[in-house]
Amino acid sequence: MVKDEEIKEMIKEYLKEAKKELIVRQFPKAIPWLFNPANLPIVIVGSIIVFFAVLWFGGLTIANVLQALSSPYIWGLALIITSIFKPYKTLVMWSLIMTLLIWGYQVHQEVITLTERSECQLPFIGWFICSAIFAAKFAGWAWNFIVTLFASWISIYITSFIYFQLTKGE
Amino acid sequence: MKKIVLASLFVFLLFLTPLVNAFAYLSIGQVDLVDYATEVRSKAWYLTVSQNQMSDYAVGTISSEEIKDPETGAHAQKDLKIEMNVDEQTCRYSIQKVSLMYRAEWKRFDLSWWECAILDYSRAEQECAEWIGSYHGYRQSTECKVWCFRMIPEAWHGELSTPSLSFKSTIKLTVDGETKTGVINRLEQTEVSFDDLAYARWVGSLSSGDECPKAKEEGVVAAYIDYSWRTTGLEEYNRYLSAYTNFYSCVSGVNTDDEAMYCVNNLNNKLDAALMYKELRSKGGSVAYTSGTVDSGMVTIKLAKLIQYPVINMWIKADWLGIVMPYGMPDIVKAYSPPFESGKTGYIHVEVKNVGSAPGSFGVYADCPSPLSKTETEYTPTLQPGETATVVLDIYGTSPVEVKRTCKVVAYDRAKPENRDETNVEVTLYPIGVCPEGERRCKDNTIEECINGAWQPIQVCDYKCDYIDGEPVCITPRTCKTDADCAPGEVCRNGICVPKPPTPPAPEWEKYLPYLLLVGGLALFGYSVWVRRKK
Repeated sequence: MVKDEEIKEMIKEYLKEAKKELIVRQFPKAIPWLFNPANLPIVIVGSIIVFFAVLWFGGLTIANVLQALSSPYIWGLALIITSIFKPYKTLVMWSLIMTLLIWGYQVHQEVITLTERSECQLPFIGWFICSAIFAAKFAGWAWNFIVTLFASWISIYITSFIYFQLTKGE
Repeated sequence: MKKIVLASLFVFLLFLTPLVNAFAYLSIGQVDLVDYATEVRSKAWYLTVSQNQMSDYAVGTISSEEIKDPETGAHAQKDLKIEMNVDEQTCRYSIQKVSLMYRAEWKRFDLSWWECAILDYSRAEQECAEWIGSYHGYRQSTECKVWCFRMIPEAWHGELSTPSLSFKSTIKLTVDGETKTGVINRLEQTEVSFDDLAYARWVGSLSSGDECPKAKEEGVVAAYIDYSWRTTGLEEYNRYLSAYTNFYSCVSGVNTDDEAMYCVNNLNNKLDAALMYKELRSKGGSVAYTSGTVDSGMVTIKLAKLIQYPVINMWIKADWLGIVMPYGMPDIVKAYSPPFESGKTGYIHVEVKNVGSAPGSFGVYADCPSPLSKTETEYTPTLQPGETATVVLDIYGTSPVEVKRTCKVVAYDRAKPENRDETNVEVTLYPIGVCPEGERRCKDNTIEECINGAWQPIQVCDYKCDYIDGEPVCITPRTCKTDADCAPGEVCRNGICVPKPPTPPAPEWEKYLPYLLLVGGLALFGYSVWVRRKK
């Protein structure tokens, strides 16, 4: 005789399995809209529109983006992030994180070089001079951030899309 | 009295006319100095020569001044004498002997009564044959008589060939006593060379006043008689030939002495007529004469040697005739230069007048002392005598202070640079302000000061030039023990503060970092996919 407790456990197990199966069956609906190959043309067109919108705004050129996309750092980091974190739903967040990593490093290097300039070494006024230089550089950095963000988003999206298709979303 | 004078004058003119016509004058038309004529393979005078009338001799002495190139004004150095002489203009006909012409003779031989009784003509005919001898002959034996005819050769009949014209004309060019001769051998010839010193060419044939008559058209043949040829009538010969052809039939019907005489006289009369001299005359009135033996007979007509050359183009080596090139003489009428700023282009305006007697083109340049540059040479157009032109010379110079310099302006004839004129022009160069007067600055390890508007080095520092209280000074190195003892941007090296050396280049492995990252990412990506698919 099967005890009630055992039956309850069996039903529980069954429901658990059924839920799993339901999740598997409903998986296509669960994945982000972005990674459906059927939507790929819309994604590409949307990306181009965004790119040209930024281009229209000024400060960004195709050459900048292509230069950023040709960096092995970008693709190396994108592959690592995709492999570990599978950022299907957190694409923007991971793009921002990757941008901050790359862009932050570049700005940091530049700041160090700038602070080593003799003007910044002057007593009292050195700090003001350096701040002024940074302020003057800010616009360039800001646009560089946008370029890096755009390139990061594209690289993570492409690697995630390939990963998703290879693993069927599992 | 008046009539006598007029008559004398008329007679004098009649007498003078043939003398005037005896030779023609040559004159030149166009003259050009050609840089290179292929005809003489060098620079040459090109002349067009024409003759005023027909003549056997044409002459023209052209003075060196007449041989003048109207464009450049250059003229020949020596006079040129041109003589054109017709040496020969002869028609020649060779005589071809055709056949003998005979004079006929007759004699009668009678038979004896016995011979007549038995009609034996043999003795008489034998005597006839002996009488004829080696000649060509006939006999008519009838009525106990033998009429004997023999043909004695008297002349050769000859026919004249078509005429050939022997023509020879010489053109002589004499320059400074040296004569060069060109020979023209045919009327159709159109060019002649003079030992590479000159060349003549014309268009069309030489125009002769006469031509060779055609013998047959003139009805003239020839006969060789008494060891010489003579021109005879063709019509008379034809009559003789007819009589000769009919002579046999004539003698065949002879029965009496009168008839025999008639036949003989008829032929001989025609022969005499055929051997009569008939002159062969050209349209110009020249009469033929004969010469030569029976086998090489020749009829010759020396035509009147009047001739008209077409307009002749001549190329005469310039070296032979010489060239006198007239030159212009420049005169600088006015020259001035407005002051100009240092580093910019200044101008010298030069007005040049040609005071020479011939057109000339002049080169103008200015020679200036430092700091001004020497100008390029500018050229005036060709100026006629008395004409003026202005050229503008570009001049450059830099100076921190205002300078005045005297430039020597030179104008010279391009064809003869010895013909020149010079003048002096004062050129003023004023400075441009490039720095505040008296200010100092550091330039590398040198202290510079603005003197007269330009930075001039005043001191070279041993260690470094730097600013102290805004003033550039040469500083000495500070002693130190550590970097902290030195100013920012300096480090302590060997006990003295020196500028911080540039950041050393990144180590080798850092270059490969991005690729390592990429390869690592790919490996992780592949592993992750593999693990997922395995599940």
